[in-house]
Amino acid sequence: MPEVVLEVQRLVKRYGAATAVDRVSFELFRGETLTLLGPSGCGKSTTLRLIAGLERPDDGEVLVNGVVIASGAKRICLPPEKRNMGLVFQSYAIWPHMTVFENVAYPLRIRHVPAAEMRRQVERMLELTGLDGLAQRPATHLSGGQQQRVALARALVYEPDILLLDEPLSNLDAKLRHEMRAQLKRLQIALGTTILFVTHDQLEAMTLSHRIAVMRAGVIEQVGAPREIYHQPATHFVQSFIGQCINVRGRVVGAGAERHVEVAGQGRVAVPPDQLPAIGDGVWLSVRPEHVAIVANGVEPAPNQLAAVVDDVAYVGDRYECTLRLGEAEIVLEAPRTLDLRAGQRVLLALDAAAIKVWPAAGELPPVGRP
Amino acid sequence: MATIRIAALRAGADQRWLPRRETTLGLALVAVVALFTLLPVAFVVIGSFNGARVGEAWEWSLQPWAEAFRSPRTLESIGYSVLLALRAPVAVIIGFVIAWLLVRVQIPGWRFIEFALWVAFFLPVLPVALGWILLLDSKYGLVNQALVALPFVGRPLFNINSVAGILWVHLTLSTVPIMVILLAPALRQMDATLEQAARVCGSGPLQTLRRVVIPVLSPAMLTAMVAGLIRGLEAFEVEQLLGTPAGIYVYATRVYDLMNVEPPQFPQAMALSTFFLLVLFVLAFLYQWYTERRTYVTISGRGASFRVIPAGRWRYAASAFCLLYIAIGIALPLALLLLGSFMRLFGFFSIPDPYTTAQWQRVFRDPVFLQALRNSLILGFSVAGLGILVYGLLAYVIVRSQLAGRRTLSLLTWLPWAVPGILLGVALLWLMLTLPGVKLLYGTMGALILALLIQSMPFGVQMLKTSFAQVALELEQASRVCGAGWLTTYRRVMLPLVAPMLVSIFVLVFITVLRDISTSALLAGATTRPLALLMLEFARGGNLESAAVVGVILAAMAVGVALVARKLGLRLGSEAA
Repeated sequence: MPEVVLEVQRLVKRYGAATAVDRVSFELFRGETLTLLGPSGCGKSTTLRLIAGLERPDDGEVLVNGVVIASGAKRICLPPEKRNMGLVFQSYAIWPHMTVFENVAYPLRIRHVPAAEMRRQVERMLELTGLDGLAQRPATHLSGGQQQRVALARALVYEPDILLLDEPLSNLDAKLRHEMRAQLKRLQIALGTTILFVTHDQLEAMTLSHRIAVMRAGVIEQVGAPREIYHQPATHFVQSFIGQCINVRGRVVGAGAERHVEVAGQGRVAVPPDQLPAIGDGVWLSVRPEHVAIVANGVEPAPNQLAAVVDDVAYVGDRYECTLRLGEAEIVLEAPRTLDLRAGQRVLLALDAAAIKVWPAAGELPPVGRP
Repeated sequence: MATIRIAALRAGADQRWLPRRETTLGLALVAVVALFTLLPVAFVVIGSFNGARVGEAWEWSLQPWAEAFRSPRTLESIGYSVLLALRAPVAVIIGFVIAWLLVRVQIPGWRFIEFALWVAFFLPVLPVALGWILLLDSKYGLVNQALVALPFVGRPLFNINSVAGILWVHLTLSTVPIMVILLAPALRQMDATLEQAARVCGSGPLQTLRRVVIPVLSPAMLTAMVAGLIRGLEAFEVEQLLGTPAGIYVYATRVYDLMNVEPPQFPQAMALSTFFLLVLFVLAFLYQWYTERRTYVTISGRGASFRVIPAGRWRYAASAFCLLYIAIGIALPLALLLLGSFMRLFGFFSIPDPYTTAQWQRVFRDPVFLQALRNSLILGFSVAGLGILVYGLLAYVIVRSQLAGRRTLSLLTWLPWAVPGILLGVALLWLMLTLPGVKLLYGTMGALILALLIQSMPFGVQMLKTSFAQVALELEQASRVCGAGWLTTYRRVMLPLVAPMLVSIFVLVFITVLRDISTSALLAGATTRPLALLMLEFARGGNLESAAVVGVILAAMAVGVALVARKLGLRLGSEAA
C-alpha cells in the first residue's frame, strides 16, 4: 500500500463572497504524479497555493506525513519556508538580478550547504535539466524555455518532499511544450519525486499523470487514473472536458427496465443498462466521436442511429472534417475518404450504444460539442 | 529515490497563525512612527489652545487664537502666503508648455535645456537669490543703476524686496523647473496615437494640444499643482531673505518671527500653525487620495508609440525663448553670485579696487565655516543613509506585509508632508523642552538628523512603495518557498531589485538636506549649524560677502550632486527609459 505523503481534507478558501476552493479533499501518494485539471477559475491554482503555504485556508486541513501543517479551524499555518516543498510558478519567478547558477543555488545557500557540495549539487541539477553551460548566464538573457528549466532546477535542487507545478508549460509554444513534457517525464522517472501538477491542458494531464483530479468551480468532480476518467466519467462536465464529446439533447422514453433516448425527429438510441434515467426526463446524450460512424444515404434511422444533414465538408490535410447538423445541434466528425459526402446530403450516424452516456439536462449550459 | 525529509514539525507555537504576533508588531510600528509624525502635530494643535505662560501647566484658552487673528501682521502673513502660493497654477502652465516643447516637439537644443533645468532643480534657492539682490536691489542693484543711467527711464524700476521679487526668484529657479520635472514623464509616456488620431481628424498641433493633450494630462497637472501649492505655502528661506526686510511676512517667516521675539510667542505661533496645518492637511489628503486611486502602470518598452511632433520654424523661436529663460533666470544670477563673492563690498562696483580674493580666504580660514561644512556633510550622509534603511523597511511593511495597521502606517508616513520645516522645528523644540527622553537630543546633531529624517519620509516611503509594488509578488514568494524567511528575502531579493531607487533616494535626500534651512532654523545651535543656515545668518547680519562665498560653495556642491545623479541615470524622463 503506497504511503500517503500529502492529504487535503475539506479545504475551503473564500475571497469575499466567492468560494474559490469548496471542500476539496484528496490524497497524494509517494512517488506519484497527481494532476489538478480544470478550466480557468476552477480553484486548482488556489488549492496549490494553499498547499504551498502562500495562502491560508478558511476551513479544512492540509497534512504532510500525517502532521497538520495548515488548518482553518485550529488557525495553524506553517510558513512556506518551513514546508520543504518545491514550487514552479506559472511565470517562473526567476530572479533577474542573479545568474542561472545563483538562482538554482539560492535554496542551498539558505540552508548553509558548504560551497563545494553546493556547486556539485547545482551542476548536477543543471545537467539533469539540460542547462549545463548556462550557469553564468544572467537570468535576463534566458528564453522562456530556459527560464522554465531554471525554475524547475531551482525547485528540485534541495530534493523537496513534494514538487508543486503551477501550469508550468502554458507559456511555452507547442513544440517546446512537447519537449518539456518529455523532459518532465524523464525527470519524474529519474528522481521519483512526488508531484502535484496543475493545468488546464488535458493532454498534459493525460500524458504525465498517474491520477487526475478534475475540478470545476472549486469542487473536485472526479479523481482517477487517466483511463478511468476517459472511459468512465462520473459527471457530464468530466466527459465533456476530457477528450472530445458530442452532446445531443433528447428525451427519455421507454417502459420498465428498457430505456431509449429519443432525439426529436432524428432517431432513437438505446440507453446502456447501467444508467437509468427517469422516463420523460430531458437529457443530454453524450458520446465520443470515435464511437460514431457516418453511414451514408439514409433517411430513416434504424435503432441506435440518428439522422443528420451534412452542412460542410472540409479538407484538412490528413482527413476530411464533416460538419453536420443534427436537429438544432451542430457537430463535427471525421469523415472517411471512401464516402463521397456533399453539403446538403442526408446521412445516418451509427452510435455504439454501449459507449453512450446519458446525463440530466435540467438547468445545464450546453457544453461544447466540437472536438 | 528521494527520502522524505521534512523538518521536525511540532504542532504548536512556531506554526500557529501570526495574528497575535502580527497585531502586536504592527501596532508597535504604528506607535513608533506616530510618535515622530503625529505627536509633534498634536503638540502644536494642543499648544495653540494653551492660555498659560511658558513654564506653567497647560490650561485651555482661546486667547492665542484671538491674538493671532487680531494681530495685523499675522493676518497679513496669511494673505501674503496665499498670494505667493498662487504661483503654483501659473508655474504649472509654463512648466507644461516647456515640458511639451522638450519632450514632444524636441525643439533644437532640448537636451541641453533639459540638463540645465535638471541642474536648476538641484540648486539651492538662497544663493541664487543673493545673486538677484546684486541685480535688482532697489538702491544698488546693477539693473537699477543701469536704468537710472538711461535717459528715458531715470529711476530704479525694480525692487527685489517685494512680492514681485519673491515671485520672480521662486518662479525662475524652483517652481518652473520642478513643474517641468513633474510633467515631463507624463508627457513622455502619453500614447502618441491619441495625438495622431486627432491630427488625422484634421486638427493642427496647437489645437491638438488644447483639445487632446491637456485634457488627457489634466490629472498629472492637477497633482503637480497641488504639490506646488503645498510647497508654496510652506516656503521660508527666500521670504526670510527678501521679504522680511520689507515687512512682508508669510506663514513660515511669521512663525519664526514669533518664536524669536522676547518673550517667544509660542501659543500664537501654534495657533497660526494649526490654521495652516488644516489647509495643508486637506491639500495633502486630496493629493494622496487622488494619486492612490490611479493604477500604477509599469513602464512598458513601447517605444513605437512615442513620436516627435513635427514643428515649423517656430520651434527655433521656442528654443530661443527657453535658452533665454535659462540664461537670464539661472545663469545670470549664478554668475553674479560668483562675481559678488569676489568683491570687497558686495554690490559696490564703483568703489576703487572692487575685486579681491580676501573674502574667500577669510571664509576658508574661519573655524565657524569649517564646522558648518562638516555639519552639513555629516547631516547629508547620515540622513540619506538612515533614510534608505528606515524608508525601505516602512515601505516594505506597508506594501508587502500582513501586519495590522498598515493603512494607518501609510497615512502616518504622509503626515510630515503637510508639516512645514519651520513647524517641525517648533514641534520638536517643544518636545525636547518638555519630554524627558527626548530632552537629551536638545542642541545636538541628533535633533537635526531626526527632524530631517521625518521631513523626507513622505517622499522616500512613497517612492519605495511604488518600487516594491512593481516587483512581482511571485519573485518574493519563490524565495519563501525555497526556504528563506522574510528578512532573508528582503535582503537578498527585494533590496537588490529596488537598488536603483535606493540610490536615487539617497542622492535626492542628500541634496534636500544640504539645502535645508527652515527645518534647521529653530533646531540648530551654534555648534550644530549647517552650511545653508550659516549663509542665511551671514546674509541677514549684513555680511553679504561671506554669504556669497558660502552660497557659491553650496551651489557648487549642488551642481556636483546633480552631475552625479545624472551619471547614475536619473533624468527628467524625457529620454526613453
